[in-house]
Amino acid sequence: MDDICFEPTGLICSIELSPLGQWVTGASGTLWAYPLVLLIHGIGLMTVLGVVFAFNVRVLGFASNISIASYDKLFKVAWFAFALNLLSGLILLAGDFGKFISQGSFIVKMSLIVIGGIMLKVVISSIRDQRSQGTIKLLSALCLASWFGAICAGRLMAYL
Amino acid sequence: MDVFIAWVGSSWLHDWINLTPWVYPIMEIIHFTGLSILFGSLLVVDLRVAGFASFINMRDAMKFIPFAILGFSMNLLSGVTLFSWSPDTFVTNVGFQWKMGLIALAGLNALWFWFGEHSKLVKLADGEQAELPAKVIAILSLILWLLVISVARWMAFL
Repeated sequence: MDDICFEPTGLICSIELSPLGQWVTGASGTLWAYPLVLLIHGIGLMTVLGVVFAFNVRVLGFASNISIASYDKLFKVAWFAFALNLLSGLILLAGDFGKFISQGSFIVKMSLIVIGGIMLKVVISSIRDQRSQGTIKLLSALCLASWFGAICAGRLMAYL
Repeated sequence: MDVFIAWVGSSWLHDWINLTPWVYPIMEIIHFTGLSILFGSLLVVDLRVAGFASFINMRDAMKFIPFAILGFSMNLLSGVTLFSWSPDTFVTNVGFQWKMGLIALAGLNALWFWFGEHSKLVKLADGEQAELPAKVIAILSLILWLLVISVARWMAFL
């Protein structure tokens, strides 16, 4: 983690050496910090991805008796989980800032989350605008692919 | 147990995951994808049964059960493969022991749901609340699976 942290006054170093960065890596003595934040990130991801999955399964034509509007409540759960993951993700990021921002799989993961979020909006508006079923299902499949791609990239961050 | 560990350790699965570098990360990806599918599907079913989403027809919510089974199957297969990587590391891990115990409880809970409550639930009218035992099962299911992922995430630290 010290590979890019050259100068104690630099941005990368000051984030990694900040109280938050030191706390999450356990450098300041709280050994439970990293597992705890990682756990929150894991629970958040399965909730967000789970709701995205349940929604797109519906859009792709399974369980089609459930109205699209009834997913609003599930999306509230998903937004809460997303907020948890944004927060826990930022904390994890602070711990090894230099490594993550220069890591290809991290950049791919962030991009796929942004694309996935936009795709979700696009799917919802394509349903509202009553586009053809083919278009809606294609968009929905792309939305699922970007979110599950984000999981792949996230997991690969431990290896690449 | 030693015989079992030795048997897994001499299996082709053990050789495959140890000798092919991409197998372990791919199995982890499948494991994370599967748990998301499992949990998301259970959210629909369990929140409906627990009474938080009564606007969904019970029979429609139940259509997510096959997807929950799909997610679980993905995790069973990828989990067995990951386990074969180093069986003795896992069986001696406290987090893994708890995880297996909790999955067994969640499995019993699912059996209770399927054989005890499912047939009653699908007869419910639109918007009708489930009976208390079914609600308890649904809440238990969400709690147990959250605990499963918690102890699983901590396996690396225990």
